[in-house]
Amino acid sequence: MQKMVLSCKKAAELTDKKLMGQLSFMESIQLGVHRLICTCSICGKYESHSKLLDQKITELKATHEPMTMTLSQKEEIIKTVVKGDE
Amino acid sequence: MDYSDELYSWAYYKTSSRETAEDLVQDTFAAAYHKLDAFEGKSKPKTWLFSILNNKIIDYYRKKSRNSITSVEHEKIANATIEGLFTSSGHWNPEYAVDEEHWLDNPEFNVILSDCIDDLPANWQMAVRAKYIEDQKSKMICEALDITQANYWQIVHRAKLALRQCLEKKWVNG
Repeated sequence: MQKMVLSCKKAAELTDKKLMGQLSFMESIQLGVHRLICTCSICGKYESHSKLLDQKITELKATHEPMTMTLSQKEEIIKTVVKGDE
Repeated sequence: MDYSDELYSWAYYKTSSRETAEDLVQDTFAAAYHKLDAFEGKSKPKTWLFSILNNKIIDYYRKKSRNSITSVEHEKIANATIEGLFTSSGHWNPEYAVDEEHWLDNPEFNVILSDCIDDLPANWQMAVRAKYIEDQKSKMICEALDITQANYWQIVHRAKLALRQCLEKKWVNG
């Protein structure tokens, strides 16, 4: 029975492991048991917060703006590459 | 140099440093120039150049993480900070309750989140960017970082805990 009762710290680990699709059968049972018996509010919301964080990090992709090089930067690269060959 | 802007943009996105991005693009073109004879045309030139660049980026992060005292220390500090989220008996420390209301649909949040990702230890940053922003498969990420699957999910978990802390700290402190 002791093995079925996780700490909140371990439950948080397994929650993130679950979100990555890496949870074993036993671990999913352990996590389920923890959620039944744990009364702390942070634990109760951890999975939804973690999913929200996943979503917010993924959204950063959309904010990535293309960068361009200046003409002098490009010329410098050409010079360096050609010089390296001499 | 047709693809230089795209290569530069990608390198900057991966490293957040203009100087590093420029060096990586230069190294990419130098490598491509010297390997031109070996290019068999099986892939498009753009694909070929990007594959050279991505390997350069992987090498950059490997060197960065091996250079090692700073990176190891950074991870130790980050791990110790995360331990502070929990009491000695493994319960959540109540002062770290997260208020996710301000996360939602606030443009400033993305700037703070981006800053917090930049503050992560090098390996953690790489894992987070590769997984969430580049949508890479876990097997490729593990190969690039030279870590096991078990290490990988642990790193992502710790990175997310560190991000939670950082977000709350930067949001509250402004």
